[in-house]
Amino acid sequence: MSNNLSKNIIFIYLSGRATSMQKKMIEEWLHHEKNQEQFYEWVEEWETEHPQFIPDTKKALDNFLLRISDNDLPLLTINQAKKGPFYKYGKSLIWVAASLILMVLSYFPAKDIIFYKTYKTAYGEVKKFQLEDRSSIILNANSSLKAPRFGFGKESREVFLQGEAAFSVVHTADDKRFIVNTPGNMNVEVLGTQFSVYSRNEINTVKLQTGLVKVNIQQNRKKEQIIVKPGDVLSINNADVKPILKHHQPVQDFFAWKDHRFVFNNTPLTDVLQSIKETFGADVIIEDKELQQKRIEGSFKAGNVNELLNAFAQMYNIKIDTVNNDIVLKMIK
Amino acid sequence: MTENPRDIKPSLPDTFSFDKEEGQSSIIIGDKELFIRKAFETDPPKAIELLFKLYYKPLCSHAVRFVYSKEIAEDIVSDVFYSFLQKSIYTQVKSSYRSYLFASVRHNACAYIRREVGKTSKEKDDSLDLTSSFPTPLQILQYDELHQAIEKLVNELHPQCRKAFLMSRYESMKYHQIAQELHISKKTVEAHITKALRTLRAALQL
Repeated sequence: MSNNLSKNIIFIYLSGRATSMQKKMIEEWLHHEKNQEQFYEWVEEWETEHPQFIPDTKKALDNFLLRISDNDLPLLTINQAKKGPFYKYGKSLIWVAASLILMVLSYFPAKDIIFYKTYKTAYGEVKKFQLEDRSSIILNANSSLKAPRFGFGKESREVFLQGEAAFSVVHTADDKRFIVNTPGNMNVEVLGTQFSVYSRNEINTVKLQTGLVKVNIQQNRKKEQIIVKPGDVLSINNADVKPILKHHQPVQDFFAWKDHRFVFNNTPLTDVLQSIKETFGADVIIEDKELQQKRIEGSFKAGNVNELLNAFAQMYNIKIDTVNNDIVLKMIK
Repeated sequence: MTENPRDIKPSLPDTFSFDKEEGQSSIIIGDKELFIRKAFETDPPKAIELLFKLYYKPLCSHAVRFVYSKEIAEDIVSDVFYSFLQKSIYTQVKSSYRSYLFASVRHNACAYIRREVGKTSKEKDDSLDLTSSFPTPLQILQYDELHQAIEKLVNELHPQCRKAFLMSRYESMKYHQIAQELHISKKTVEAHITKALRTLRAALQL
C-alpha cells in the first residue's frame, strides 16, 4: 500500500496541507529509492505548476557560462571589467591604467618598472589577469603581483605576491615550475594547479583546490618543504611559529571572494573587521565590549564596506554610525 | 531514426536512440535526461547548459520558498550547478540528475538558513556535494517542514512589517526605496525588518 502514493497526496503535502497521518505514510513511502525519484519528479511538476517565482533563465545562463569560462579556461584577456552579478563593481579601464601607473611609480624603483610588470588592485576590487604562459590569476582587493616583463616562462616562471590571489597555473610541456614568492619566508612551487596564496602583515597561507603544491619555508636558517594537497590549508606566521597544515578544509569558502562574497564560519567580529580593513581599507571600530566578543556566521555578498556592514546590522542588531570619518559599530539594546 | 528532435547534435553516437515512437512534441522528462546524460560523455559544458535550461526555473522557485530572497535563491541554484560541473558529479550520481539537483538545492537552502539563524552545523558538511550523503526520508520531510514553517511565520507578520520584509528580502530593494514605496521613514523600515528577522530567528532556533 505504501508503494503507491498518489501524486495528489504529494501535491497536498507540498502545499503544507498534509495531515500527520499522511506525512507518516509519505515518510514510509520514501524509504524506497524508486519512490524518492518519483517524489522529486512530482516536486518538479508542482513547482512548474505553482511557481513561487519565475527567474530570467537566459540571463542566469549567460552569467553562469561566464562564470564557468572565467574559472576553468585560462584563455581570457587581461583587465576585464564585467557588468553582471559577479563583477558588479569593475572600474573603467582608464582609471585602472592611471592608478596602476601611479602605484607602480610610487612603490617600485625604476629598475622594477623596466624589468617587471605589476598587476595591482585597489581596495574593494577583484580583478583577473593572464600571464604570458596562459596561467591566470584572480587578484583580491588591495593586492599586487609582480612578474618579469621579459623571458617569463623561458627558464622558470616566478612571480611576487603581496596580498591575496587565486592562481590557475597551466602545466607546461617541459614541466617548468611556477613559483610564487611572498614578502614572508615562504614561496609556493607548482607545476600546474589551482590554489590561492595569502600574504599580508606577517601572515601567509596557501589554500589548495586541485593538484599539488610544494611550499618552501625558511625559518631560523632552516629550510623546510611542506607538501600541500587539495583541501589543505597551510598557515605560516613570519614570527617563527611552526607552520600549521590543516586538511579537509572548506576550500570553496576561501575562494568566495572571487565573486565578491564573504564567508564566515563562526569568525570573531574582530577578525572580520581586520578582513574589512585589508579588503576595503576602512577602519571600523567596535564600541561595546559585548560586541567585541560577537562571532559572525554566514555568506554575504558585498561590493563595498557599507553593503557588508548593513548585512551585519540587519542580522545582528548592530547600529552603524560615522564618527569623524571612522565607522563605529554599536549594539542596539 | 525518423524524427530528429531539435536538440540532438549530429555528433551523437549511433547506439543512442530515443526509444519512443511518439511524435517529437511528446518527449517525456526521462528521455530528456537520458539525452543529457549521453551529452556529458562528449561535451560536459554543453550538457550542463541543457541541464541548466531544463531545471533552473523549478529549482529557483523551490529554493526561494526556503530563503525568501530571489537573489539568494538564484545564487544557490547557480552554485549547485557550478559544483555539479566542477566536481564532475554527473559521473557519480546514481539517481536522476533531477533528484540530485533538487535534493542538493534543498540541502543548501536549509544550510543557508541555518547559518543565517546562527545555528552552526554539527557535521562538517561539504554542503554542495551530496554524493556521499543523500538525505534520509526523515530529512526530506524536515526540509519541507522548514520551508512551510517559514512561510507560515512570514504570513503571520503584521501587514506593514511583512511588506517591508518582503521588499527588502525577496525583492532585494534598498531601504530608501522601500521607504518611498510604503510612504514611511527609513527608520521605520529598519525597525520592521529588524523585527521580522528577530521573529524568524527566534522561531527557527528551536
